[in-house]
Amino acid sequence: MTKKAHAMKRGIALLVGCLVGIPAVSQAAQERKSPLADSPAIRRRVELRDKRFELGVGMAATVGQDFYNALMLNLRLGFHITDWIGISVSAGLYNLTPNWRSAFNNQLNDALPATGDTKTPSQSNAAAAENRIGQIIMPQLDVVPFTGKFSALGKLFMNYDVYVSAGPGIVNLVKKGTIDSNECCKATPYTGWKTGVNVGVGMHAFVNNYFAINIELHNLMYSNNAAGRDVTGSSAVTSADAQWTYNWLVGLNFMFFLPAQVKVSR
Amino acid sequence: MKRLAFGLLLVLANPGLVAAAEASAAGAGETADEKTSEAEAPAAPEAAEANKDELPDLSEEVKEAAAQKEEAVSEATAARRSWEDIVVVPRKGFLKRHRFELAPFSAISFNDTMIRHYSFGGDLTFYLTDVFSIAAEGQYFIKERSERESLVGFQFNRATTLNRFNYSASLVFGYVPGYGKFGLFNKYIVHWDVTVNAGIGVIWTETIPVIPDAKSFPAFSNLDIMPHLGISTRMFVTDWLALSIGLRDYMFEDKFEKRDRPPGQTAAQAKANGVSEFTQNLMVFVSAGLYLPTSFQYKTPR
Repeated sequence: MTKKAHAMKRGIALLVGCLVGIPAVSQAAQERKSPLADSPAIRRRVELRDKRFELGVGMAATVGQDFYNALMLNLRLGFHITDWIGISVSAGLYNLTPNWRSAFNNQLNDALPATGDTKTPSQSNAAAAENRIGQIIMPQLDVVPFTGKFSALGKLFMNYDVYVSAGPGIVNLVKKGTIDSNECCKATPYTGWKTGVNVGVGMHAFVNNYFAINIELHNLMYSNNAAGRDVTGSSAVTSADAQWTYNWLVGLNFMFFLPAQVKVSR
Repeated sequence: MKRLAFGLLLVLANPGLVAAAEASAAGAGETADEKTSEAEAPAAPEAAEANKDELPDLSEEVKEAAAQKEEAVSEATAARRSWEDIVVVPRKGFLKRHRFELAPFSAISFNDTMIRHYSFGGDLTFYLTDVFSIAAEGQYFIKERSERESLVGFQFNRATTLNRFNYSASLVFGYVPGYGKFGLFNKYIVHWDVTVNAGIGVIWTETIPVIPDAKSFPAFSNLDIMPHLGISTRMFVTDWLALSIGLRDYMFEDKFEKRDRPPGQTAAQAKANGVSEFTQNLMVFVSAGLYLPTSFQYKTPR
């Protein structure tokens, strides 16, 4: 075979290669479609909430109360209508610490006399007029916009969700002690069941498909006169002395999700 | 010679195979067959006729190449059929190592029922690694007395001894123990991490005299050593921007005006007779972190 023949063969092979390969590339590029096109953002997602009940118990504590903080035994029940919306009730059923004074109340108590005078209430009279939280019930709508996974220390992987909630808030305000009406400064404890508004944010960290640790932060807003004393200067204690107050609660609950079996998305 | 021509053919056809693998196998096969048939036509021009004694017949090689191509297409398609080929966590969404973060922030205190402080300041952070950081923090405080504070005198015939915070500066060490991502409405993926930090600094505070008479009851100021602890979470918006929310607990021994301070005391005398108390200032922060350099490069392929 001559050199010319070799060159010819190479040329023909190159030409054939180009004609076979290049049109295939261009056509494939036109037809190319990402395998992720039209697929959901998260595939084979474990549906941890959709059509499931949750129930659990835990503790809730108030933060920054004027006179008495409360550590409460908490119960939470809920049903998730879809993966991102649900209804629930979070209830502080029992106040474990009815005598837990705030730092301010401790200082105030130290500054007040044991026996009242014409301008200053006594320690016991001041305490008897101050209310504290007995029970709290918060029915609410939960919206779950954030769901995902996290790793802690690169070892522990957990599913989690973050939700916001809103609904009415019902609180039972109670008193302790009796007011001596002979002392100065009229006082009437502001007690009973009061209705307000509750907004909150919370998260579930799923240990497995049916058990989760739940943390909640609520702002329960209701009208209150925590000191049970005159605010408006009318020298009488009336409902006009009650003011809108913000009451923060932090909760930690241990939740079980039912049914225990979960669906997996496509 | 045959090997050379065949090899060349495969090399040229190969990109087509890869691309075609993502199209349908049948369609791609048909397309390749058509192209191959078309390729045969120009391979037999008059020049080839004239030199037919010297030219070998390449039709067999072309057919063989087409068959192998078809086989490769079907293999590639089979391999791509599985979703398992796509890794769940390809790479961390954001790298911080050897980058600076300038984060202006605003904060509010929430644990003192008598006085509230708003603060404005900034953190300048340098990331030694992707998880360890060192930062300088400075902030300026604005005070606001609460309604409860204003009622103490009226309801209990007592006055409160309060201090206001003016400025603070500190050195902060940070560690990122966890990171993750979440789906926003199951549609968008957002990366985030959580940072714990500890630091030490100083805070300038000033008394608010019970009797607001600057001549008889001048205020005095304190410079306190202030260790602090904190936790925050950060969401990465772009390669150079992150939004953060956090909680910090500043602890210091502060000196307050004595309850029965006599009039006429100088500020120094009042300070000498002041009452020291351990103070905790819990603050919630929001900040926007700007990263420099504004981009980063991965060092691993996936």
